[in-house]
Amino acid sequence: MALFGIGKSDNAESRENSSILDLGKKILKDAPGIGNREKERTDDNGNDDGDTFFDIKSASQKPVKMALKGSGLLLRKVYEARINVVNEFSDIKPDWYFIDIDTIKTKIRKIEVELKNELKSNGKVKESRRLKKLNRLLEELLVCNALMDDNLDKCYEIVEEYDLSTPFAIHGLNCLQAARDGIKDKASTQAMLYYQANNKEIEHPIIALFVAMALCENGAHEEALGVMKIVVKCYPDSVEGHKLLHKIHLALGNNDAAQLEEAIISLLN
Amino acid sequence: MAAKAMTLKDITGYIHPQESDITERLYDNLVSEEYCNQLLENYKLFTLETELPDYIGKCLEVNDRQFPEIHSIIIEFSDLLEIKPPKVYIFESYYFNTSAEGLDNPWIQISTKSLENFGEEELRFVIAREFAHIKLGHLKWEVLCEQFAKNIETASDIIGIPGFPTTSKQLFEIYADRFTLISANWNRISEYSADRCALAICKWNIKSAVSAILKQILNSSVLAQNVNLQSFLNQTDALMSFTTNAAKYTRMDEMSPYGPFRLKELIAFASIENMNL
Repeated sequence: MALFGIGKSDNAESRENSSILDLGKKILKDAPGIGNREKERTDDNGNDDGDTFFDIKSASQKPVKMALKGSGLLLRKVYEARINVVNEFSDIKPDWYFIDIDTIKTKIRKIEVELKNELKSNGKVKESRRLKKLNRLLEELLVCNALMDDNLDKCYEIVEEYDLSTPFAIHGLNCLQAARDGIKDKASTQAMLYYQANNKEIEHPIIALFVAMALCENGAHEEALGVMKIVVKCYPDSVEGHKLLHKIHLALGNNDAAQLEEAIISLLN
Repeated sequence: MAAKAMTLKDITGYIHPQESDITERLYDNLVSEEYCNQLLENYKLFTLETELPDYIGKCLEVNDRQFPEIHSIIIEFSDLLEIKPPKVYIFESYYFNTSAEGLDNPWIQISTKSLENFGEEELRFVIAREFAHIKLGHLKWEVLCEQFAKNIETASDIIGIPGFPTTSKQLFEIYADRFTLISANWNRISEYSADRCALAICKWNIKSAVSAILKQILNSSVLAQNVNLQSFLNQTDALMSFTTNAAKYTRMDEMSPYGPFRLKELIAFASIENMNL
């Protein structure tokens, strides 16, 4: 019965209590002076001078300190074992979908390992039979690095090292650089070139935002709506994103959805 | 805000995308089906029998004569979700606390602080959350997690494991920590699901949803009214900057998602769901 949570058995409790008592007794027994305590602690008439059991001055601290020192090291090991259990869950995706740098860093590490293994087995990039796979890995690496705020330089390094001419390497980076420089027209043009060259697939939310803006200007509101999903997923708190969505919904006659976006905008402002 | 027509019969379409996988993972860690059944039996025989009389004896039951406005919300949501109306009790508390409890005949408990400080739409949202938990079958998993955790603790006190390098109590503590992370993960995902479903039930009233969540997180109407949402949501950056295992552990053992995470996800869900309507 006790196995299923009804309570401690008497045996367990008495075992625990006796072990604590034994430890206490051991400490006191080993402490010099305590054995003779009673002789020292009587008053002038030979009577016991109060309760000497807890007399800190006369109790030796050495065995207690030694016991504590030993337990400290053990405690640290237990803490580390308990906390390091998180490593077992490194494969669990985060609960959330918005961008966080830690997740991107983990993804970059994984891609770099996969890339390294791929390159080891197959030599030069241009002669590789698995060029497509390598390009995909490199493209993913570029996108992840671009998602890290100040990693465009890292992206340029990768492009140069591998002599890349993938859609992201050419147009994606140009779009992000133009966005950074505040040249919106160029960012928009490059974003659309990337979108077309990459079979209308986008993983980078900022490029997606420029594509959505360009599509809106061309009257392709339905298509723009689809593109905006990645923007909102990654940056749900982006006022600019919700303003664009509001505009798109109004153009499509989705009044309720437009009202929802308006409510979100007012919450975020 | 008038909403487009929604089919609330397919409420499972709103659950967090990871819920199925996380539930499966949780189940795999609950030893066996037989053991789970034993845990549920224990809950019915002992925990329920001790808790329920307390609620009935110490709280106010909601009905058509006591808090009729809440009663009508209960009937409305029960009809909408096609479930038997649960009992609802109002209990005295200094906290914004609303939860669904029980198993086969669940009930909902609402704190006096919630009643006194939530507006009507906010109250509808928090009640809708509990209906979502009931409809999605979360209560069974919550009970299993609680009972399993209690059992680990009890077992560690009475079972010796001779021959192992660490003491049995430490081994159980590590095992318990592992289970805590798994059950906390499940619990957080279930909270995200409840938020999403409740928002849909409450016709996408995002302002009331956000307001209710802020009050619950901060346990203060005054604090909630003074939140700058953009700043609050930016706190996710600071949270994610802690990358040691100790910091990850503290994030992973949370039974509810951190507020900024919860609200970001809800806003994203609302926007994306409305792209599909």
